[in-house]
Amino acid sequence: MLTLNSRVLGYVAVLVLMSISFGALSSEVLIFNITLKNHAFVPEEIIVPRDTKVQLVIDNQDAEPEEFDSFDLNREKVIFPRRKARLFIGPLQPGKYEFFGEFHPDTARGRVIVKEAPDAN
Amino acid sequence: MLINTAILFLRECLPLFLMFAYLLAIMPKLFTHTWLNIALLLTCSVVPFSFFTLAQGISESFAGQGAEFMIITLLLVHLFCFLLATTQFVNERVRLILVLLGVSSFFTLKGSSLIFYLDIYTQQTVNWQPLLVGGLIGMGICISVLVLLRFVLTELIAHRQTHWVIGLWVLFIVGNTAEISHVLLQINALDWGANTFFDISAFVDDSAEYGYLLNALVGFESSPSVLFVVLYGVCLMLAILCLRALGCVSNQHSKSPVYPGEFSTHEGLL
Repeated sequence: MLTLNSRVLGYVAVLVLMSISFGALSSEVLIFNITLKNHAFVPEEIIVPRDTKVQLVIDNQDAEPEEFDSFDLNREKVIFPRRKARLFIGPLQPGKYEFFGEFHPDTARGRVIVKEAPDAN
Repeated sequence: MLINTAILFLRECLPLFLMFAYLLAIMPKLFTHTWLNIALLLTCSVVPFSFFTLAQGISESFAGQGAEFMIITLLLVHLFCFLLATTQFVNERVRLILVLLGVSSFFTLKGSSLIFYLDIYTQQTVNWQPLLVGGLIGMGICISVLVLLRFVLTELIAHRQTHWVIGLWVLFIVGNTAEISHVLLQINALDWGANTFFDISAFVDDSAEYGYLLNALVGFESSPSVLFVVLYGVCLMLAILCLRALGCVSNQHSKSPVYPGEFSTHEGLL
C-alpha cells in the first residue's frame, strides 16, 4: 500500500508530465521595440500573432526609472533611466493585453493586440 | 496621484501586512523578544533601501537578468525560512532567525517598488499631500485587513482548527513563491509552460481590489500560465511533505495543548 508521501510524490510527477505536454510551444521569437519617452510608451499599441513568443525591448529615454507592469501579461520590470530592458511575453491567445508604467500610470499606457492572422507590425 | 499612491501602497504593502497577521497569530511569542523586534525594524528598513541603492547594478548584471535572479533568490529564501519556522524541527532560537530572514527577504521584494515610487514622486513634486493621503488610505486598508485576518486566525486556533490556519499560511507562502514562474518566463529561462492554463479574467479581474486581495492571500490569478500552476502544485506538495516529515504544529487533536499551559486565543501555536 502506498504511503501518503509516495502518493504525493506521484501526484507531483503526474503534474510535471502533464505540464510538459501542455507547455510545448513554438521556438520562433519576434522582437518589438518600445520607447518610453516623456512617461509615455511609443508605440502605444503593438500587434503580434497568436501563439508566438515575443521579446519586448523597452528603451527608457526619460531621466527617471519606470516600472513596466501588466496584470494581463503577468510581467513586471523596473527600467532604469537611459537604459533598455528586455522581457518576453507569450505565446498569447487572440485578444487585447494592457500594460502600463506603474510610476506614471496616467500617461504610460499601452496594449498588445494579439491577432489570428500572422501579420504583426 | 492620490489614487495611484493608494493603489500602489495597497498592492505592495498588503502582502506584508498579511504576513504579519499570520506571524502574529501563529507565532505571537516570538514577538515578545525585544531583540527580534529591533532586528526586524532594522533589517526591514536597511535591507530594502540597500537593495534600492544597488538595484541598477543588480539589474544590469547577468546580461540584464540580475533583478530577476535576485527576485527568485528572495522568494526561495522566504519559502524555505517560513516553512521551516512552522515546523517542530527547529528550536526557538533558530525559529527567530528563520522568521527574521523570511521577513527581510519579503520586505525587500515588496518594499523596493514602493521606495522607487517614493523616490520618483519626491523628485517630481513638492506637493506631499496626495502622497500622504494616498499612503494613509492604502495603509489604512492594509491595517484593517491585518486586524480582521488576525482575528479570524486566532479564533480558529482557539477553537483548535489549526489545520485551517496552517493551510492558509501554506497557501500564502506557496502563492508568493509561485510568482517565480512569471520571472522565469519573463527572462525566457524555460522553453515551456508559457501557455495559459485557464482564463477566468471575465469573472475575476486581477487589477481590481478584490483581485489584489485574492492574489495576496493565496496567489490567485485569473489567467495563470501552465508553469505557474505546475510550480504552485509542486511547492504546495513539497510544503505538505516538509510539514509532515518535520512535524507541523497543531492543537487540533490534543485534549491538552501542544505546549504547556492553558491554551488561549493569544498564545498561538509557536
